[in-house]
Amino acid sequence: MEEQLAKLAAEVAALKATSASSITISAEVFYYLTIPLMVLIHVGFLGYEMGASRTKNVLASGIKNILAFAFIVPTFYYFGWFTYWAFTDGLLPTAETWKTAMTYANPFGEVMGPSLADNSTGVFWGAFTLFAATTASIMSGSVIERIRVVPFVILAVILGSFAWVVAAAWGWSASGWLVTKWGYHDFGAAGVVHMISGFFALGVLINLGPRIGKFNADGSANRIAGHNMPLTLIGLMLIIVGFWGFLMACVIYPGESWSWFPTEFATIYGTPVTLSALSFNILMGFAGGIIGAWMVTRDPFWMMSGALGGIISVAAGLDLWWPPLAFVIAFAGGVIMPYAARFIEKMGIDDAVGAVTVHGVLGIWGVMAVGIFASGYPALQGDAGVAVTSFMGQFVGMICMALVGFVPGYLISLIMKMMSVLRVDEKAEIAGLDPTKVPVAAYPEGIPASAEPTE
Amino acid sequence: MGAPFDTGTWTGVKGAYYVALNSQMEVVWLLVSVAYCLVALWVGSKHETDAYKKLND
Repeated sequence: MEEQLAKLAAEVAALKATSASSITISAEVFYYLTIPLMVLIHVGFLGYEMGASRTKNVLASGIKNILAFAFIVPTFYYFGWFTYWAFTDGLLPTAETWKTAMTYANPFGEVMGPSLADNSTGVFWGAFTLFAATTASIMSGSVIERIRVVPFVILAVILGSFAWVVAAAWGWSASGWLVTKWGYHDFGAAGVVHMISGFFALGVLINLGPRIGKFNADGSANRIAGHNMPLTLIGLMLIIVGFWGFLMACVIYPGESWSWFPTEFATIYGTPVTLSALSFNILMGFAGGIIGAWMVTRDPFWMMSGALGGIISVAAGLDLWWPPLAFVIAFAGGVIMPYAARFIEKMGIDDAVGAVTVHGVLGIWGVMAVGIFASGYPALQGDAGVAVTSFMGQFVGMICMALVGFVPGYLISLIMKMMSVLRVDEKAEIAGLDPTKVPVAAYPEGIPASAEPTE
Repeated sequence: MGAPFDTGTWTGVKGAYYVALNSQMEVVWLLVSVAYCLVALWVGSKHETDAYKKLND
């Protein structure tokens, strides 16, 4: 009998070990797969940005976009990931948060390299690196056709590997002060990614100035059309594909030592969520944004921007919305968007792809929608008494996101402007950046015009 | 450098196992990679400035 019991215990132990190993591997695969999905965001931004450029600047825009992604990777390794763990308490790390960062993100230590004892750090770092690169790419499109490439890369690194990370430490972490003190809720990063990059871009655009020919002497604006609208539209659709990976990576997988629950998914705050909830609300947001934008513009560029804007409008509360409400919120976002873009243009800002509008303005809408429609939810995992979502909490978070985005973008680009290194040479801007500094041509044989109809 | 263990087998190897583990070379390679980024930015900046100068000449 004792022998049988011992055998049974051994079998149970072996089963437990196999089960634990399966959970570890499936969690690792879950986050690993979010990374190539998020790379599609960059495929999308690349196409979007090149399509929105004139033929004389296509490849220069592409180079700039690719470099933002490339430089974010090592810099997020050097200090971005560390910043996320070290800045949860405010503008500076404390002794305690510094110690936490040294434990989980020390670039000089073995936690940041291949280890048989750690299946999670690399995939988490990878997913966050792609969040960071997304943030930088959002700014990239707005400044096309007139920014110098190296100052742009420096701005992208400051945005992607530092500014948004501070915002994420404050409002996208269960230890962040905006969450613990104010109940700030931003599941899908409407504030910590979209607002930050939109407002950072706004700060840069003020100092960079418009493209030559964008505004007339009387202040009226001209439309500078990109050379390939279909490429831009496909790019926007690919960004949407990548967003599924982005939002999937916002979920905490169950069953691991670092998980919130043994068997259920959770948000980054430890509150419950399901992939089912995300599917409902992402798709309803996508559709609402397109239809709202179509109703007021009939323009395919704004319709696809509306798809993105619709998802951003519902992003902060993706885990909470009743799907028809998500549709309504996204629809409103799609309607607001072109008017906001027109207002920004009237202010003399030349935002070539509408990034300030889509990400900045609709990021505000997304954050505040939670305060307006979803107040009263516990913002954290824990017993009764934890902070709850509220209008005021979302408002405080929204102000913080606007400032953490705008201030560094404005100040650093101002310094670059004063050093005369921000903007390309005027002659080069008129001649085109591709013939001036790119060793290959985008369309060496030209683009043939449409054939005349036969008579 | 090379393998951080010399047991001749993977059996019993646990934890971190990458090249340069627990040596000063970890920091050296980190700093070299940082230097590469900085040099690339400097070269890129010079290329762009030269391209504009050429256009103005």
